[in-house]
Amino acid sequence: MSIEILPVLLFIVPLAAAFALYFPSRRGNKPSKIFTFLSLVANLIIAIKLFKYVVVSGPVITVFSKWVPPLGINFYADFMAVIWLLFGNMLAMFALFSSRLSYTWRFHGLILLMSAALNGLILSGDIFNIFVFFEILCLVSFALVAYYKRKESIEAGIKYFVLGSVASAMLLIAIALIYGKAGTLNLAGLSLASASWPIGFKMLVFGLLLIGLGVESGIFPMNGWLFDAHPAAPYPVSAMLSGIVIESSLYVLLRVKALVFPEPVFAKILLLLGVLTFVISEAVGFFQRDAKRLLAYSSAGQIGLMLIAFSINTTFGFIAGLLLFVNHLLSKGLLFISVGAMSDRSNSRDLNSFASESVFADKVAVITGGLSLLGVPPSLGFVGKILLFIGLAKASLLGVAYLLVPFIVIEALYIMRLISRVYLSDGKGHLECPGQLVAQWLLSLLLLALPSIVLTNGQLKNNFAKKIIKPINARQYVASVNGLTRKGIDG
Amino acid sequence: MQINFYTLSVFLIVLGLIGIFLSRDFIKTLIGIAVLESGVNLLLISIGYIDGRLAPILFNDELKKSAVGMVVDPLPQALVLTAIVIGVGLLAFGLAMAVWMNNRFGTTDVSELKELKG
Amino acid sequence: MLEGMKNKYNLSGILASVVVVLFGVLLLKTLNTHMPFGKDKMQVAAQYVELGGSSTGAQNMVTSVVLSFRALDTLGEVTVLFASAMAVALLLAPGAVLWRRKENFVLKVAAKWMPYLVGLIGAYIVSQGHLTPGGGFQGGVIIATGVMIMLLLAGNRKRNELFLHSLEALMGLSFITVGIIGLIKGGSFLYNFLPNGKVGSLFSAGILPLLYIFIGIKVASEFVSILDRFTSKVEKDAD
Repeated sequence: MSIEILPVLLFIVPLAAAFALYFPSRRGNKPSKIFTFLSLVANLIIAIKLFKYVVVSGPVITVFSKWVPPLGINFYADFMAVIWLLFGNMLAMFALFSSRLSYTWRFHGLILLMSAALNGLILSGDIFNIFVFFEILCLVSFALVAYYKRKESIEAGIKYFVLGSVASAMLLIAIALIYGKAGTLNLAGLSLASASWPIGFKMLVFGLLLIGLGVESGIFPMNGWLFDAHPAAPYPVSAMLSGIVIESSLYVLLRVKALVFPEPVFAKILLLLGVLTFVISEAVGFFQRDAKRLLAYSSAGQIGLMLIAFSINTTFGFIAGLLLFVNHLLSKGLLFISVGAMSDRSNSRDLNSFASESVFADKVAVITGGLSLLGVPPSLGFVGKILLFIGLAKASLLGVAYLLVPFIVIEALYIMRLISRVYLSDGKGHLECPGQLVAQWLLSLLLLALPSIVLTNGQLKNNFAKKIIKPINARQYVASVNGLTRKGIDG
Repeated sequence: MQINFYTLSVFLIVLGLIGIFLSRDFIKTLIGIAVLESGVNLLLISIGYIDGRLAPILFNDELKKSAVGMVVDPLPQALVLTAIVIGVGLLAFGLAMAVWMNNRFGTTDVSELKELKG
Repeated sequence: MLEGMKNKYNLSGILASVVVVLFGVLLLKTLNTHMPFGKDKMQVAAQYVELGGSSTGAQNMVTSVVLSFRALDTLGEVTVLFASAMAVALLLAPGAVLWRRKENFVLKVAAKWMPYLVGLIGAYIVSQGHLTPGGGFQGGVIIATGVMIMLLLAGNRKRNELFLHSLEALMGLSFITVGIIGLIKGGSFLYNFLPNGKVGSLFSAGILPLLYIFIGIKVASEFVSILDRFTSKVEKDAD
């Protein structure tokens, strides 16, 4: 019984911490930061425990208020979910740790709420529940983007807000249609019910879901807000936005697609959108002169790659997508933290001057992060991209692979431009807060160590590749939730 | 004869969206968002409506014994309760941005904020 | 899509509007074919109706759905308002309106009695959420309105930020604590561990009225702080 509490705790702990944060905050910004950090560490420990359990023993289902689904809401933690949870909470912890001391308790509280909303979003097995968590996430993101209250922050915030509100309305319309047709909101139940829906109806609902989730995911053509919001936001927020928030939105899209829209035409639509997103983002990103904006374009491009990987529908594609996700989260998180901190110190984001106050740790961070992002061997990005190409070949989509290559080169060019600016700088800056130093070192080390751990550990390879890694299997998901329904939670 | 509430809610949705797209003043955009959300909430409730039935409250003994076939769908009502509150939260933030903008720049015209390009 | 916000006569805005109208027509057609208005479409909800009062003891079936079957959604909703209050506080300073006005008999009397009347109505709606339509959110907003009347009509604004925020925090923590007690006693977060009671009596429906009271107070304090901040940095002469 106790393992089922863990998913609940992942949502409740940061939420309770956010409520309680007011009290430590009365003594200043530092106690508030310490309190927040401690609860995020607790969250990470819970996520690691859950990860270890699910990897060995399979998915964990938790019900609420003791009502068995579809009467009640359930949380579903399977392999893909715990990967997202593990790394998402890890990034939150690092991002918060590296944040500046001048950030107030409201900033910390909003980061805690973001973490809670992300965890709930990933775990939830009910589509309206997903909508509620999604709205919390959106609202918190809007507020954090506008944190600095400069002209550009408010403009970015307004753009994001308007697009986000329209998106959430579209999502709600989709939910209305789904409920009207199926009478249930539970994902497993929908998976069963949607088998009998006419394709025209499914197209409309899918389109609405795509708009709703695509805005927050950064899929073309709804990612206009990304390129203004990420540079304007404080750097821990940019790190989290690029590293986990847009990916979680993508996660929801993929889960709903796998369960409710299994027909191949939907995979083709996602594939096309992924290619467009990647190609256009990388092409435009090449011309950027603003360091953080450059990174934002790279994020959009990587989302495109992930979308391609996950829509190929083979095991290779799935593993490639997972690796791309983890790699992007860690490397982009690291890059945003160091580039952002440097920009704050030197008061400029222009490529030629942002690195004027760099420190040695910044150089290490940017080089490690940048090369991992590009997929220089032996980083995870390299393995991810190779598997992506193998997957494309196996799905007879080599044409797509040929199309992607020049744009991967373009990305390499502009990321190297960024790296070179940092590498060639003086390195005589002054740090504002030691957290920046420690976070950067730890993340760089993690990025360097992870590939070797993952790729050379034989036991890991055997267990993972054969038993655990499966694309989201609709039948298995439905069966496990229905099994719960039939035997009741006490059985 | 009954009004088909679907028509009304879709009308509100379309009106709200057009309002958002064609407005230059941020307050007007917010009004568009509010109308859009009202339309969507109305749509959600209308899906739960069943002809000739009562509200889902067990107010007399007959209903307390069994309400089957006598009441309207309670689930969309609960969903809309949540959705309205969420909409209020979003609009509160949007209005806060508008007030801030007005205090700082003296206007809520969005084309005045042209700092960011493409 | 966003260009519509920049130019006065913009092609993309008009184009988008045409697309929207077409979308509306498509949506309407889909709605009328697949889920005809007024027909019974309940699946999960049919089970809710079948269970009726025996599920939680609440006379208002929507409350059982909101606070029992879908209690996690309600917790999320509470969180949205909490995030919204923090977000507004991030942008705007605490309210500072000084209304300079002539002594007005109607306002003087209203300031004495109205807040309490409004507050009473709000409290009634909050506490009877499991019996009649209403509940924590609606009642909370009404209570907040009552408090705002008091603050606006008083000559000098005095709102105690510490009190408001502590109240908000405590109520949120209480909600979660009730959920955790449910977890310990029944095995599931937010499990209804108090007795259901007789449907229709004031003390029925287990933890539901308790949860609504927590939500009501929390929402009231949040809205007071939000509405209060909307009046910041604006000086007005009013009579």
